[in-house]
Amino acid sequence: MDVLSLLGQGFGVALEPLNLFLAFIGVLLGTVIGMLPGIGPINAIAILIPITFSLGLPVTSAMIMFAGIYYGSMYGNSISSILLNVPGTAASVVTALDGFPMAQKGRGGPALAMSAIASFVGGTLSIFALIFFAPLLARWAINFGPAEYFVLMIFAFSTLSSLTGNNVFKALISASFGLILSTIGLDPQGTTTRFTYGQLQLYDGMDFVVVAIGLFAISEVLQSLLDKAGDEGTTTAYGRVFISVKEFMASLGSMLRSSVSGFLIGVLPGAGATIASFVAYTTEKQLIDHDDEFGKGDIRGVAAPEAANNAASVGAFIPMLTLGVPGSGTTAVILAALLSFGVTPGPLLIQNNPEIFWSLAASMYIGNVMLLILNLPLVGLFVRILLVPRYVLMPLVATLSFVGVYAVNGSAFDLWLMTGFGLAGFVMRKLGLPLAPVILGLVLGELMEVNLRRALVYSRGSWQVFFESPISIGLWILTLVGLILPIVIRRVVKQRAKRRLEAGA
Amino acid sequence: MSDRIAAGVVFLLAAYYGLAANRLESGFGSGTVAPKDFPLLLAGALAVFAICMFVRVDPEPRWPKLGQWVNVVTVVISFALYAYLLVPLGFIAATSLETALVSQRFGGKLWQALVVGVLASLSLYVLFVFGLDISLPRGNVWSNLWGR
Repeated sequence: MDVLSLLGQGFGVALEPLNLFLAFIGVLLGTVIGMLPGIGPINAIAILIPITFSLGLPVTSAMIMFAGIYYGSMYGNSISSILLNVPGTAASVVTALDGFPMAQKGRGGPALAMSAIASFVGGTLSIFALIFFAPLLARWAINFGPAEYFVLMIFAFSTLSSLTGNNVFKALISASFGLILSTIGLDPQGTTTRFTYGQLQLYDGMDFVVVAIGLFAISEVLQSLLDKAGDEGTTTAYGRVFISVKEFMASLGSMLRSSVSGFLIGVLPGAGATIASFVAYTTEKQLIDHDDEFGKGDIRGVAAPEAANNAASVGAFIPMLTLGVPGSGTTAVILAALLSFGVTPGPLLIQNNPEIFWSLAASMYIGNVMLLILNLPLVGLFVRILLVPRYVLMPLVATLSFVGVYAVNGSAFDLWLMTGFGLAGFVMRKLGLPLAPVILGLVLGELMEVNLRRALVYSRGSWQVFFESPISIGLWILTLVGLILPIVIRRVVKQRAKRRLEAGA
Repeated sequence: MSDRIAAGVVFLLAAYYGLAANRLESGFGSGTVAPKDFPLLLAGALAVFAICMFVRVDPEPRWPKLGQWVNVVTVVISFALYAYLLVPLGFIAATSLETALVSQRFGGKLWQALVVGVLASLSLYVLFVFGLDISLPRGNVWSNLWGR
């Protein structure tokens, strides 16, 4: 069957009233969650997973909603960046660099419009790429054996580590924490219980919903306790949400380039929307910012990161769906959701469950159109939500976390675990240990161990099996490059800066 | 200095995890790869990363001041107490109190905090129990108090 007829069938499923409704709920929630600092798509999806179970939603419908939350949050996160200079999620930190100065000059409206349009361009373009590349990659990945999978996961951790934050080792430590958490409970063969200390609740292993909500939502509540009270947003007047054709044309190049680079970065396992937006911004700054306008309120500085982070959020679905290796913290949670629905993402997903893939892709088009409508004329309604005071918002985050965690198993033990992870996440934030790798490790741990075991069984215990096929060797080389390159680049940049400083003095 | 101490703690954790893993016995038919092998691999990796973290130190983080710590610890303890009291007090009462406490920590006035708490817990209870059909504890203290 050709792509068009498959996509047509996908639209058929995506246009069913229930799925249309869930896509709308997803993108609406996504916009609100993306906009509010402190609540990200990871928490929202983690809290919703037990609820989708108890509602008995089909897996395709749940995926449509979760995906909507993810790319919807990429639209919403720029609203608070532009109007308050407080990024809704990390992926819109750079949007604030030019968006906030624009708002200060009274051009908040155009900045909001630009960000919505750039998001739409980045989002829709990358869905084409998703439809084209995902089946290709899946066909290629069918050749992967257990040994290749094991090395692929090591590669995923290495890219994640070299791209999040400054200190590679800290990210690797975080990833190891996640992997260690995944070994708690019954071992994959079901013969031995490990690290349960006699606690019956731990036999099934760490529930990732509990870990994700604790690490992200609860630690965020604790972290916000440190901010001074009364920092509530006062949004300035932002005027009409509108851009001229001239402004659109001036930013078109930036949008297109950033969509491509954002998509490619999103596809990399381990990288994600945050890095994509940084790369897009710095590239555009070097390419087209001849008058040193970036950072002072250049509309192209809003267009580039917003196109990139939306493209990346779509691209991140490719490794998750075709390899079973997520490209970001959010896709890791979506992967965990798929697993708990009994669907194993991997090269065979598109073959065996074509309805999931094609309906998801079709719903992304629909969702992006909904988002454009929500974010252009209706942005004023969302801005009101930003004015909700913190003494209402933060307790709500905490309470929703309690209910979400309690709904999983109905056990107080889970609430204690969640609190423990919240405190751990708080300390880790302070120490600069990134949190997303923990989730990735927890979700991938069992798969990694199963593949290690299978590979060694086939090879009768010889570890050489991990260095035999060209695919594995290629992945090892990429891993080494990924770990060493950032260190080298940083050193070169530092030296250059030093030389410039000396020349200036 | 914080990084050094943290690296030391992580190293101890790796050592403890490795020792605990080493004591795991293989069940019947584990074959080539025993249940302890993957954990041992992880323990080794974590120990190496801890040493690297000890060597490469980042600038000192800004730790909260004593007063802020009190705030954080109060809230953490209240979360733990909430988990303990949820079943006896019931969802509505426990959640109202807990939400109000957190709200008050975030600078809400007492009446504001109470309104937030009661509204949040009532609406979530209705949403979950009647909307989503997820049962939440009703509280056994009350039924005892009412005699039944």
